[in-house]
Amino acid sequence: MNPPRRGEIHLGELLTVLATLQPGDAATARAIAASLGFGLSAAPDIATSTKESERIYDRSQQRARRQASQMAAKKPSGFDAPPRSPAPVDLPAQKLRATLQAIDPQSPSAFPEKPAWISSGYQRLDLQRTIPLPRASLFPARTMRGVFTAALSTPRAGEQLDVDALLRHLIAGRLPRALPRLPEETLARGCQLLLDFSDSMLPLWEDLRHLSQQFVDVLGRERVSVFEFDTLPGDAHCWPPEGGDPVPWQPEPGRPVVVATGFGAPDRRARFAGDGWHDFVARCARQGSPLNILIPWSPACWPRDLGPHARLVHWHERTSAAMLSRRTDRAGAWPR
Amino acid sequence: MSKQASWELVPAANACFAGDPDRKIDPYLFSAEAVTALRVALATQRPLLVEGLPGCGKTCLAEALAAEIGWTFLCETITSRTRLEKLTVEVDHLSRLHDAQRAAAIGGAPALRADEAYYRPGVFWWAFDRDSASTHGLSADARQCGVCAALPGIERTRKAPPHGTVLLIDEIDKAEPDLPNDLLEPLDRRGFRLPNGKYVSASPERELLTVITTNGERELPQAFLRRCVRLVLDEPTPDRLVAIARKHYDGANRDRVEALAAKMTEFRAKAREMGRRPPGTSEFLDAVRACEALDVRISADDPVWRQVERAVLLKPGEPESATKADSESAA
Repeated sequence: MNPPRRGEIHLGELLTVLATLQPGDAATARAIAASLGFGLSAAPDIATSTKESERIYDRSQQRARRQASQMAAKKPSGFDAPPRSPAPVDLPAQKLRATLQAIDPQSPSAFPEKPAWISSGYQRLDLQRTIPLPRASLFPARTMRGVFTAALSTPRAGEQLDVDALLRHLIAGRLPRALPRLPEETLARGCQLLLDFSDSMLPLWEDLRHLSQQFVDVLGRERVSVFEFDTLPGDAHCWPPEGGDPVPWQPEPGRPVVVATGFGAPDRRARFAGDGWHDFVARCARQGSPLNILIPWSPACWPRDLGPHARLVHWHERTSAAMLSRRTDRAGAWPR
Repeated sequence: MSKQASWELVPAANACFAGDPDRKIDPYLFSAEAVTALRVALATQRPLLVEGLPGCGKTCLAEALAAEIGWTFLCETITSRTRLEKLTVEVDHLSRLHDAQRAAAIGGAPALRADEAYYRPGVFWWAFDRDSASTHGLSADARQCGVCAALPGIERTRKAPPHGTVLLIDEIDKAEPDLPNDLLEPLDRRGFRLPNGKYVSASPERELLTVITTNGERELPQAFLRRCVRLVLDEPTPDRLVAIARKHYDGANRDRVEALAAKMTEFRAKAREMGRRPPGTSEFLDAVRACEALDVRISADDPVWRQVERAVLLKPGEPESATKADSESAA
């Protein structure tokens, strides 16, 4: 019989350890609690194609909206008025005695003096002393790893022998030229991350920076190359840490490319520059670089003619690894 | 006399392991934080996750502890190709295929051994159940003759219990992101299943301390972190650097070591300003060794020191602003 799983570290273990080790002082007790995760301090925290791109989008929202609208449409007339609130409960008539007591009004001199800063001139807040507000991520921590792994995994020959393939060769009476090995998914190639810092993405600039940190957290700093662009990803560049001229983006053979962009939406003045995007997709395809495009807006703002090489992913908290793993069929329809 | 608890074996804070030149294990100075975390990990029987910059002594901590308390030491360094099977059990299909071909060629079956004989035990198997790891797949006769596979680590036996093993899983952040999640099962249950369905579980007679190290290159999954006792090895203070250097190089010139420790603080601050990795304790020790061997004076106008500084602490390719600043101030 398998031994039971112990699960995550819990409060009972902290109490047991404190009873066992019997720390002599509060500092040691705090150190013990911190090592078990009970510290009170914050953690060191193609060308134009008729084929559609794969579109990763959570349809449940649409379905829920559609169902709601269908239900509303099916409602017979006469039921549109809101339900009446229940009749009030009868309470016994009685008079309650007030417990509030009047206080003597204080003279103006009894109040403390006005603080000096009220009458002083305008001052900027000291940002160093402000506490950063917690920020909700468009890819939450619970799904981030799975989504990135599903989006960026590339196959490579694994170390495990493909016994089935080997047996097929032997049964057929021929020796394979090379030992067949089972493919395995890897993130070893990392990715090139292209971030759209155009004006239309201004509300999301902080999210773009956070997104690049998320990629670094999952893939490692050495495996993520971050580039920035304005409007067209083919013009992306990065700034070398040692200074100097910006380095233009070039696709690397087989290395996945991730673009975070809004395609100029929702700014209506900005237009989707189709040709530039098609050239960009074609360059990625020629180098065999898988291309994922993260879009924060709804599918209504997504281009439809980027071809099958680009995979359009909704940059949204409801996007999950399972949605990326499910493949659309040839016609671009969703699997049932 | 009651049996000594395993956590009581951990040396006191600031105790020093003198080193083992025969096995090439360096001296180690146990910090108070490390001692507390080691005791907690042993008392809770949870894996210890040691975090810190490269060269801060994460790997040495596990080696030194095992040597200090007389426990067997096993180590597996993780790479991007490491899979759970490598740590638990792999099946050697090639040997099996070879034996099958040979059996067919010589017209008999004896060349083909039992399936278990083709299992290659990983460090978890050795750590959980050493007996079965060393004798699996062997015939009864072979066992009687004392034939067994050799332990892939350093074997030690204490005179008195508790006996145990320190298992080091080094640099887990180099693995594919799924591996930490795969490790939850063997770490949680202290056991795993073999391909033939048998279950290998940790022997209750032997204690086990699993030490997992990470350079923080990648973030580890929350489910994994919540099952580990965590220890963050911070950068040592200059005083501590001096103490560490004196344990490694007893006869080192104290003034020179102190000057080097002060330089380390300066280089770390500059490295952070430039967004680079600051030099670690191991690089500091390299610098001490180099300066002692070459009798270098820690001064900007000493060309040998400037070369040592660049080669050992700043490393080639890194900006030389610190060196330039020193030169300018010296001028």
